[in-house]
Amino acid sequence: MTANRVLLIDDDEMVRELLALRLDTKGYETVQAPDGKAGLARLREEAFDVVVLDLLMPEMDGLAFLSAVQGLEGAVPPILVLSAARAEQVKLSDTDGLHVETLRKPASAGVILAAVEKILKGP
Amino acid sequence: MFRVAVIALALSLVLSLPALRTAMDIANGYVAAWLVRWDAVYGEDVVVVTPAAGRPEPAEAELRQLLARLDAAGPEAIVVVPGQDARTMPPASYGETLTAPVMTVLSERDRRATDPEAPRDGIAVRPDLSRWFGHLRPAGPGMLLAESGRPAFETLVADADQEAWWIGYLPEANGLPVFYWNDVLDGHIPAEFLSDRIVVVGMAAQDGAAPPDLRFAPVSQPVPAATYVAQSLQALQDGRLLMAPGTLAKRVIILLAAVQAGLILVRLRDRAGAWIYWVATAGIAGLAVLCALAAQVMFPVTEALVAFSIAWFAHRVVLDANRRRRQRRQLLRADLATAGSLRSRVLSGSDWTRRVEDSAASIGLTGYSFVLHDRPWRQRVVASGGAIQMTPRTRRAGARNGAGGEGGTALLPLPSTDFADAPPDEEFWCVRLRVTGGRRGSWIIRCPEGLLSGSGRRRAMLIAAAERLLSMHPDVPERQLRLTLDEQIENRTRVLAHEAATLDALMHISSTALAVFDLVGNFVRENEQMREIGRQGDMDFSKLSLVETVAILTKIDATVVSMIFSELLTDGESRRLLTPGLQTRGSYVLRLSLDLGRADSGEMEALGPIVLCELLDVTESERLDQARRSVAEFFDQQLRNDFEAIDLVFEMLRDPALSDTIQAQLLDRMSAIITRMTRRMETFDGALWSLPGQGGNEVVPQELRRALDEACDSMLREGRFFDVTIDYSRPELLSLVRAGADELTPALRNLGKLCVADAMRDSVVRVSVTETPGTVETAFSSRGPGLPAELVDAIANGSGAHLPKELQDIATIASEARRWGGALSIETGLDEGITCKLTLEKVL
Repeated sequence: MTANRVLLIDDDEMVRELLALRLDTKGYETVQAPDGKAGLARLREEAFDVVVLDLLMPEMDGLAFLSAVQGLEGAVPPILVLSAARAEQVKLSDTDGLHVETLRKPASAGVILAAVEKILKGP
Repeated sequence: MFRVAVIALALSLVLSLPALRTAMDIANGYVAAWLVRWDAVYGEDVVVVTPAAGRPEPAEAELRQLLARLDAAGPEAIVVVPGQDARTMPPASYGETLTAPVMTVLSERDRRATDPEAPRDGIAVRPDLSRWFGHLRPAGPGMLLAESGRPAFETLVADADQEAWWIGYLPEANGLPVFYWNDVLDGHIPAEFLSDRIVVVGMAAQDGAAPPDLRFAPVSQPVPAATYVAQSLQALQDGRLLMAPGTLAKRVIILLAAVQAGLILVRLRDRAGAWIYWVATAGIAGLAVLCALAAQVMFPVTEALVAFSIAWFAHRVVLDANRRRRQRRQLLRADLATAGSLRSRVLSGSDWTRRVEDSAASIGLTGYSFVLHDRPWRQRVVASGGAIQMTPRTRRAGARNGAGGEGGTALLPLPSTDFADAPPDEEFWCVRLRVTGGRRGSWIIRCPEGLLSGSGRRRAMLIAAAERLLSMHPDVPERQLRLTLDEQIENRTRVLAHEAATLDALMHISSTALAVFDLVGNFVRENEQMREIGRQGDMDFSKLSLVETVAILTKIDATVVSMIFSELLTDGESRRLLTPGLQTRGSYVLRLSLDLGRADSGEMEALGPIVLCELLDVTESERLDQARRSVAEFFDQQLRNDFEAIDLVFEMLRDPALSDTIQAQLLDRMSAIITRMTRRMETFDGALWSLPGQGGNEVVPQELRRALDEACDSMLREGRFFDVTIDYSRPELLSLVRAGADELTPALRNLGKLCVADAMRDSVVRVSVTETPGTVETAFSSRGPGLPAELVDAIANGSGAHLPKELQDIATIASEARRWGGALSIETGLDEGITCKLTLEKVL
């Protein structure tokens, strides 16, 4: 059985690595990207089952990533958006055709893991 | 027979001489070149002396002689109204030789003539005689009689803190407070100030119009006498208002109307009493003559005895009549003083003390000081701290303090507390409001927030207090009290705030950075900055009023600008207005602020609250604000990431299936996180706490350091992020943090910084050092999200073997502290923040 692939896009290396560590221990295969631009590049090159996306990032933030990802050819994987309290007020209005779930930060690794599993199980 | 008649008449006259002389002295009418009136002013027997109209003014010696004669009649006071040229104004030394106090009422012109430095219009009583006014119980604001329609109200309030006493007197008003009609029309006296006991005397409005909210019918001239009488009578019957026209004929009419209404009986009764005396004396003398004629058939001894008896009884009759007349007059005075009530009573000192305390509480005065006068030489202060009996020595000391400025007191004449005609052996009282305060024009009254802060409300408060005291009259119906307190204060506050705005904001404005305006808002002095602004904007401010200037600079409607001034004076909060009307390179904000205590004169004398108008260059400020926001957001986001990472680590550490390898990796991550947080805090600390010229973190750009400094000041000032124990200033806080770190361990310092970092997250940090004889306790506490409880427990228990090195150090400290009898307590939690408290015995 092939492991589900998760793309972690977060500018904070520490958080990114800790999340990857947590997901790895649960049998996921994780790929890390420090910002939206790098994540978009990885998404163009590889296939992922779910994307965990932070909103506040340099270079290309989460909102720009969501906008750009709609122009990709082929199916776009479900995206789990981690929004901090301040970013929570940002409305994700331009997400037509995307499967986007949101999770308020700070969220524990267990909560993030449960959200990822729920997305993968589907409705 | 003729001999008997002569003897009887002579004896009658001789025996009646004292009463006759008194009657001559007190009777109304002309005495030489003087018009002498015996009258009841504010419930007191007062003799008013003024040069008779149309006659040459008498010499000073004659005045002195007249005053001596009048003084022998025993009046409560003598009021001298000098003539046109004020030559007859009695010197102050007169009062030293007389029993009754002598007061001189000066017109503005007279006062100017005698005292060119006199600052204000109006009628002033000479200061050296002001001490008697407590004795006379002035009727309070509004009692001032302005001979030429001067703004009595403004004058009274403005000079209330200068211990300048004012009195109004008009015989027709019989001691009731007097306003001039023109003052009402001119808006100098708020309509709300006209209460039931106010009498307005003066010329009617030229156009016949009256303020719509006045509770009486306006009278225009010319008007038929019958109409005038009818309207006046109606006003009198309503207990509202009496307007006396300026012409003699109508004055007579209104006096008759007043007599009919039962309000002005005293003086006429006095006059009638004098006539009664003369008629009675003549009648008795005639009767004695008749008796002598009838007894001519008797022998001489009987004739003499009969004549003597007749004369004696005649004398007694006259004296009794005079005594009854005086008693009746006292009753009538009491009636007048109580606005028609037939009953009055004398209040004791304790009654007044209680009334003052109740009154102060009812109007919200939390800090007050009332002075009760029971005798001119004895006062009692009823203050919020309790009643104090003042001796002459303490009173003089208080007066000195009051005149000294900072922290002194100001006296405000209050409405009459004239409640009764006290018997000679009873104490009578006068209440004045003593407003504690600092420099001139900066009265301080503590009261509930929102009720009194700015000039307008302060005035309203004073007037409300005055009104309240006026309403404390024992015979004023309770309903009126409630009206005054519950319904009128708000209205009065609003009206007077507006009034204050027009009087003060628009008249007493100067500026420090913008320009200086005179009392009517015109430029007096432009500074270079203002001229430059005017050149850039192609404007000539010197030709504009202040309101117009502000309106142009801010592009705000002039009406709104006036309202802004009014609000500024009401709440005392400064305003910053944008200046879109300025076409300048820089970015300016017009700041309007209220300076209540400004006393330095500079180029213009500032008597009251000053509105400072300043143009502030905010270009730099905006840039710093932006930098401050950026820095705060940066640190906030970084610290959020750090705490989020810590949460993740501890969540994973709780996993029982965690392999040793993963656990080691997590611990490495934790160590890295702590290191990163420490580094960030070092950066923040270096920027935040570095003082200019004392080194600091050179890595941090100067601009960033300034921005952080600004942020720190802002946080400390506004308490948004930091709620530092107020006892510590920022440098002290810094020293505490550093001292705690230096004296303890770097780990504890780091923990303290964690608290600071925690506090950056919209939470609170408290740093305190408590030193007892045996211990020193250094505590850092924060109320932010805090550290995970497991981490804190591990530190506090000293079982932090698996913790990162930095935290292990703290755990070691805890263990060491316990071993030496000390303690390290850490309280934390997601909702409780961090409290790290280390207590060590001093022996350590």
